[in-house]
Amino acid sequence: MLKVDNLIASIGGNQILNGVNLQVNAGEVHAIMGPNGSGKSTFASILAGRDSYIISGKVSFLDKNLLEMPPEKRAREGLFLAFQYPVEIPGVSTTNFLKTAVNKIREYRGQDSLDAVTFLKLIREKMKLVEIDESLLSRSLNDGYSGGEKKRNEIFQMAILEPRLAILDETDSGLDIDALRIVANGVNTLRKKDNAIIVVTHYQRLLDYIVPDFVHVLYNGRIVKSGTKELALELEERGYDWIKENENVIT
Amino acid sequence: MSITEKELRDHFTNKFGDFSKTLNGSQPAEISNLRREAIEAFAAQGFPLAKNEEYKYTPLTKVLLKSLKLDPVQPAEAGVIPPFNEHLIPELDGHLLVYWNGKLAYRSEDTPKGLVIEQLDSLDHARQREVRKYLATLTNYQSDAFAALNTAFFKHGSLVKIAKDTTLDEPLIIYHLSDGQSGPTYTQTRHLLVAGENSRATLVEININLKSNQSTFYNAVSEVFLEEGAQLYFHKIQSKCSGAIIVDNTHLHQENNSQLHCTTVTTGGTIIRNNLNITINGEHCESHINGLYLIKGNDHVDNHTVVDHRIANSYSNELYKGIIDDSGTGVFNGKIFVQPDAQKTNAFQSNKNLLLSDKASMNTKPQLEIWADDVKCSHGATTGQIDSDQVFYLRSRGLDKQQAKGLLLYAFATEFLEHISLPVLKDYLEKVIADMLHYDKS
Repeated sequence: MLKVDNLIASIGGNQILNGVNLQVNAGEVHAIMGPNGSGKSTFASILAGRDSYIISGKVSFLDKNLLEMPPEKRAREGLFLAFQYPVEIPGVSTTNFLKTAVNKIREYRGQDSLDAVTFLKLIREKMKLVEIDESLLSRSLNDGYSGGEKKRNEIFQMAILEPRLAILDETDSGLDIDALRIVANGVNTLRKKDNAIIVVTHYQRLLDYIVPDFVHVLYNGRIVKSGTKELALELEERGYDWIKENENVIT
Repeated sequence: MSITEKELRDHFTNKFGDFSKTLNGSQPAEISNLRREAIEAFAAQGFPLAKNEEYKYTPLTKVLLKSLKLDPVQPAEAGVIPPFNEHLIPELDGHLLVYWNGKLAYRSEDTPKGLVIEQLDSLDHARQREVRKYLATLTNYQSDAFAALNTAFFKHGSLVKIAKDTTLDEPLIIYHLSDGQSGPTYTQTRHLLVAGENSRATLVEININLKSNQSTFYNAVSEVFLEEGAQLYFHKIQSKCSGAIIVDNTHLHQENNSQLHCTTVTTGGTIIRNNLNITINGEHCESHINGLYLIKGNDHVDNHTVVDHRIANSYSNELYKGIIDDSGTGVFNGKIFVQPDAQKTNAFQSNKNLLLSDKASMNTKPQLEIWADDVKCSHGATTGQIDSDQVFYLRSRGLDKQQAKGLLLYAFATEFLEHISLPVLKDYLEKVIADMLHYDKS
């Protein structure tokens, strides 16, 4: 589904990604872990199409060249980024915005627009998934939402837009244990054999709830170690220092 | 060919004699003295030049000298008024007054109970003396050349009285249509409105400049009095003013417990200067003052506002927003005065602007003068560009760049709509704004 080949990215003369290689197949959940400043969020936002970086390498998504696509095309092709810091947009109600988004994606896929009633039904169904309140959705997008509400709203949007590949960028940060469970349940419900999920996280605790098939460690802009969920547990126990040391010895 | 300031000034002062003769006998000494004082004040000041602080960023005089010819002061009194229905806002119902080049062309037949409307040029001497009690008591003709010019030359306009305890179910709608087809027009419209004690009303004032190859100069003064407990929604709409030169002096005076919602929407014009002056002369008053300007091409829109808190325990909240594209220019100057007796005043002011092009410019100057010590006041101004993080967020959800920007601009621009009391007008403005911003609402 996603194939990343020697992805290099720099911003303002600083090279952040130093050749990332990654393959994600349908039905898989990959966790990308790593210490602060290792390039995790940069990787996530480059996949979603943020254009502030100078990029080289190859990324194919569903056999198409992802790096050539503007962000909206990536979204319409089925890529979704749950933001680490969801942007507040005063004056735009969450429901109105989502209706526009859903219909843009449907239009791209050659499907009819959802009418108001069908859309409302969809909203009500998905709301339950992340236990989000309807009154929140009529308010301005993320404007004045608490940290937890913002993160739940991201997963809610994911549920509505039904992406083929979802990238969750530190969705666990700032969540208390109850909110974490709600968010994770939402994600697990959306887990299907024809879609894939990349979970970007600093801590292992989210992975107790969203169990990954593969775990990768990103350090200094490269994936330096890959394994199964046991690797996450080892990281939890030993921290990142042993990875750093190994890596620094090699380089 | 341009004329000089002195030529234009002399033109008006010389015309004053002839103009006074046409009014001969129709006005009492109280009014003719007022006009004389005003023309003297005008002659002494002249049109404001660039060194005048109040007009520093708005070269009105320069534009007037370039655009005007030394033609009649008043628009043609005679002449056939063409059908104008197509220019009015569809389905916006209410008690209608339509002025064509400054002269009353139409008025709805049935006047609602509690509403009295007279035309200033048809008052007898006794009524004019009564009116003098209000007339030119709020306007600053001694210090503003345009107010002085209007005070010297006004002829047409409405005197509106909303009786005590009256609630008007339908709005009063005043249209000003300008048409320069038969030559440049100078319009000196004057309105006086008194909202009686505990009355409730909505007033909509709409300027429309019809397509013309000639310049139209619309110079208006309105004085509005809110007596105790009066509630007034006042919507000023300048949505079809392309090509117009407009100077609008609107003064509002509030007494105890009165509530004002004043909204000014401008979508461009050759040069538009709105002076909105609000005097809060009572306790427990509320003033909600909102403005929106959308400026494109080479248009220039200037909003000068003054909120003068004279008495304690009142509240004012002012928000002006602007989006400026192309080579457009916006000006905002907002003054808040809190006088020594106005303790416990809450006064807020904010001006927010988005610039969409490198050549667009905005001059903003919030001013706060506080002479009382127990008050809550704030003011602020921002000018920037569309937030690229917001655009990226929306695009990452499938909206293309154009739609994302349109949605953000539309959301920015429509915040004031909650203060529009009429659903039909609200719908109309939503459409005007969406069209201006190329935003597809569906």
